[in-house]
Amino acid sequence: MGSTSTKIKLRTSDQKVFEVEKAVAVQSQTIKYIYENGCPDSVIHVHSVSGDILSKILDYCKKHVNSAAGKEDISPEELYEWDANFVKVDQNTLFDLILAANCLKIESLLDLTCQTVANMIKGKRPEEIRTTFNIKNDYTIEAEEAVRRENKWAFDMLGGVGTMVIEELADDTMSKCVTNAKSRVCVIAANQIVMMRSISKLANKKSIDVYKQPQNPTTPRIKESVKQINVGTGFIELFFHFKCKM
Amino acid sequence: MSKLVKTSEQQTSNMMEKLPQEIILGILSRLPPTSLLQSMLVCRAWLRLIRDPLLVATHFSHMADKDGPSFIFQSNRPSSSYQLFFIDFSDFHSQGKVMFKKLPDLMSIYLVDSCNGLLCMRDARWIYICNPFTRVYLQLPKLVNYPAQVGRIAFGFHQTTKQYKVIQVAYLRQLVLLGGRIDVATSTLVQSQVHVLTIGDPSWRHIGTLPYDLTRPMPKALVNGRLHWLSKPNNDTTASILISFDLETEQFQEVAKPDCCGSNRCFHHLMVLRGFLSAGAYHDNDELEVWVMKEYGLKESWIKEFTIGNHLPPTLQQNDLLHFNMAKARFPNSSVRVLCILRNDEILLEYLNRVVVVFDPRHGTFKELTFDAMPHWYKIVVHVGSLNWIHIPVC
Repeated sequence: MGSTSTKIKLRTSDQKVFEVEKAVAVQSQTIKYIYENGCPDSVIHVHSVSGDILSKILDYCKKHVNSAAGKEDISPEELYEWDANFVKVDQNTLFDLILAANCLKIESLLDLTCQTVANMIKGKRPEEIRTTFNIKNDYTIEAEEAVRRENKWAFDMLGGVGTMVIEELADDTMSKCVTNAKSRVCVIAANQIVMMRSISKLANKKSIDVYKQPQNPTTPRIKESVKQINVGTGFIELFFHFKCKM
Repeated sequence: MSKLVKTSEQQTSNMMEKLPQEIILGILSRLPPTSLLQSMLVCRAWLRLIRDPLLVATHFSHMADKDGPSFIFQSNRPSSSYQLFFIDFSDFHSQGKVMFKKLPDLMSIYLVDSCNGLLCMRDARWIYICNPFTRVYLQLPKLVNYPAQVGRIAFGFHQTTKQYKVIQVAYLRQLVLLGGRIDVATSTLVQSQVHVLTIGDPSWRHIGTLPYDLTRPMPKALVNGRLHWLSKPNNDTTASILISFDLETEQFQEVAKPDCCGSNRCFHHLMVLRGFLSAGAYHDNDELEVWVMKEYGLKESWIKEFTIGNHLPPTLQQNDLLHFNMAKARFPNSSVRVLCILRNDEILLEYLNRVVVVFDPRHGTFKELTFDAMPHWYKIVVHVGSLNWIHIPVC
């Protein structure tokens, strides 16, 4: 109520001292505990965190405290964006942030950073994961085969994982569907755009060649044929069938 | 598949050396189930972690809590051998993408229900519990079948007792013969027999009869350790009654509906939205209203959260003209089912077992979703993708 906010002093492993508002610092459960159970005026040592990392972490805490308290006019969407940018750092820094968030017990930051690493793992093949994180493959060939066989379907269907979203179609009768030449079908398979065509162009074709963008841009594009086209009155259904060869 | 990894420049650090086990567990537990399975091949330490019940339980709770729900689709056509698909909406908010994956063929069996990442499935003779990701399955003890019965099976889990139970409500039809043939239309349902099996027990238990007609093919809602259904109006009552079954006490109870629901079929189907028992209702104008019971058991806490206007998805229009000429055409929304709410308040709807639509209540817009090789007719259940199994303690 009108009093100046309390400040807490933090000293990092590389002897840097930060002075922060209490509300920001106690986002860390560890700091909160030490502050409430120790001498409020003394400096709190944060041994395992370096100055650079702590500085970043304090930025995060400040942003979240301010947005929660309404001090900053920021929508949940914008905060989400800010968080996404916050974790766009190199791997070493990301791991340091995880370790610090774990040690300082800042749950939302730990959640965010762990999810970021999880997102880096998602959708990658085991070899790619190993390369990204520099993990040594300690499997024997037999052991690897055994595990692979056990979950064969999870590995074989890499090419079958796909997503497809149809853009908002006019909420109208069929006849409009025919004339709406702007409707498009965009098929995204395994995070690669496979095909984009407008429906009106497809109307006169019996079969379509689909070009699949390979991950390595220097290899030639792979052609897969569409198995079947059903031309309904004003709408076209496409059935694709593609396999990814391992 | 070389055994040795080419060590790149030391810009990327060695994850395994830097991060402690518990953190790696925390990271892996945030992966979608198929990525988790694929990660088993990264190294032996990860394989051990992924097989650890602690990781499975942590992974399950992350998958259950996250804002993007997931579903299992099953094609209703025997010709496609009841193919199962897993659909995941967790990236929908950030990237507008919905991931789908064809699941391995288990057997030609029919999907009944899902609970805690486990599916309850049946074929002509047996009921099974299985996890479609790990492909572990359990055949349940046989329940004696009555002739000409119509059964409702539901599968649930109680937080406190930590038990999974399967309940079957079987109805005997009193067959009416008309000109030497069974006249299904006038055969009345008499007598329901309720049997419960606690998973792990050797046999089913008969717990009595039920005066309600639960034969309407709508999925149940599991809230507060209780299964909920809407009963079909029968000769004695025109209203559809909301019935709950407590998985701990094994008692049936009626749950109060809001006062405005005086007339008959207004509550059309049930679902769980953000942890609350909810229902879709029609009162006037053919608009679908979504009611949510904010405080369980309190009649006054039912509030109308959304109203969804009439909408005819284009796919349905051109495929189901015939359907619309039937009586249902008068109420196109009566074949709509609310599946769940997505992170940004968009609502996922299912039309006539054919089309999945995303409704944005702020702008009143509808977006239709279809997938590569999406089955034409399907059954869809909310499902948490996980490697869970019966013995793993999930909270």
